[in-house]
Amino acid sequence: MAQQNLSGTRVRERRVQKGLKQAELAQAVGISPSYLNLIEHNRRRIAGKLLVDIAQVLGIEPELLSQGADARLLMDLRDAAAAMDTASANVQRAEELAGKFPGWARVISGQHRKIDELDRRVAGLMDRFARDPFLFETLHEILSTVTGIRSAASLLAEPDDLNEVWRKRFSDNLASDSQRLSQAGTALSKYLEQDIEKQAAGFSPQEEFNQALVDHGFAFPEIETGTHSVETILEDAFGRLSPSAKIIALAYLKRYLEDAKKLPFETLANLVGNHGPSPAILSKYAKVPSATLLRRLVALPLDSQGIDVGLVTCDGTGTTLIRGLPVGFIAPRPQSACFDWPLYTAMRQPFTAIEREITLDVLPWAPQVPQQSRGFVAFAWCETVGQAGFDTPAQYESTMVVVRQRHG
Amino acid sequence: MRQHILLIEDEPNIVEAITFILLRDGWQVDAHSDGATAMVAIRDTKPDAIILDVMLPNKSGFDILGELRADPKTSDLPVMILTARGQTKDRERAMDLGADAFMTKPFSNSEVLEGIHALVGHK
Repeated sequence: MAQQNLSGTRVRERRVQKGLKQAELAQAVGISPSYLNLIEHNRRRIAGKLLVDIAQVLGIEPELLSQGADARLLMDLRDAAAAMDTASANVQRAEELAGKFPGWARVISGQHRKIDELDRRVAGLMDRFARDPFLFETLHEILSTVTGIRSAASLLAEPDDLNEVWRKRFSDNLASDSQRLSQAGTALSKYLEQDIEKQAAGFSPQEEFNQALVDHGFAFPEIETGTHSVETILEDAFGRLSPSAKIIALAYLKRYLEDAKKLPFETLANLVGNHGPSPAILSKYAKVPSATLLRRLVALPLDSQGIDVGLVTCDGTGTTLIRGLPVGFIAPRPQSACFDWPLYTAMRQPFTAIEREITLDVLPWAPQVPQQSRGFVAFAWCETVGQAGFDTPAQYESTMVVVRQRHG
Repeated sequence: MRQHILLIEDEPNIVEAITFILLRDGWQVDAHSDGATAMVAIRDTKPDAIILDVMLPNKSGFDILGELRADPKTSDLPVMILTARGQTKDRERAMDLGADAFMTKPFSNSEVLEGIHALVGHK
């Protein structure tokens, strides 16, 4: 099985890292060196007690060998192949590539993710260019004056054929268009400068934390296994943030811990393995509040079949709190949301589960998304948070997960 | 008899430059700068070809092109579109509406001349 094939490669990598010989590891777990050799070359599967024993000797969590660790890598490789229209030729060999050349596979994965991030930025800039009236008018003015300058300069550069009357006209035109160009350029420069300052000043603690969360990924396995405290993770993952952003991060991690206690990773992984990632189905088996279930899904490592989960939350005013979208889900603007998202539908219908398919191929700003990756399902739920009372109004929080559907 | 070009463009310096190079090349040229009355100017001057800017006051060049193609009297009139927006979708829109040529600013004088020769020559 593909996932297990990669396990063998990981066993070999970890063993070499630890400086263990094949015979030493084999002896420690009670198998023959030749059998271990078959495992490491992905010709035998490992599971159960043997998997746990090997992980223990290698000093890692069994989950790192059995699931998840390379799933994102595999998905990225498949996506990268699909994006280059070479899917039919190469997608089936993604696991082989990841197994034989893990370093190169990570390079491809990293570049694919970088391209995805750049696509988002380009889409945002394109959208901005199309909608910002000042930019549009100023660029039109610049191109028009450049056209006038080019024509006049070209005629003035001709040695003959231009009498004094026309020569004076074109010289005057050149002077007036040059002045217009200078004014338009200055106005554009000032506008962009102000915009950059505005953006720098407007980077709120919430946005600061959100960016760090996205950079880190949404999973904190050390909290779940109890190997690190919330405070340790706070410093490790969010130590460089401003004090205000760290307060938000601490609250997030504490809730993460509470959610993990209600729905432990192993239980969640088994449920998703048996029933798929749909919260509508999982809610029948996981006896936890709906918002907890949605938040827990983003902590799940990707499986190798192409499932990717993103999370967006907002408060009762509609202000975005957390925003991490799955790869390929390109929103209209880098920091904004879309009014039509189920996140907001749920806000209008608290305590009601909302589920809706989203297809990106109808969106003009998403031309770069591979056709195979455009199908998403969004699930949203809105509920009150905190304690409401006579002098404290109820506060609402809406949560939406976006699940990228499996594709061939 | 000299062939007649109607230039519909609201940038006076561009009008002056294009008018000059067309006159020098032997064409008869009229210029018009307002979108709303462009159709009247076209019917009055009966040109052999039109150079039509997209961003005009009161009515866009695309709207004018649409009206031209909808009127049997002007549906075959050769039209070259000028625009500062060179995006594919603008070019596609112009061609869908029935433009014969599409030129993106900033263009050169020789490009305009070659475009007009090709436009009127093959009609």
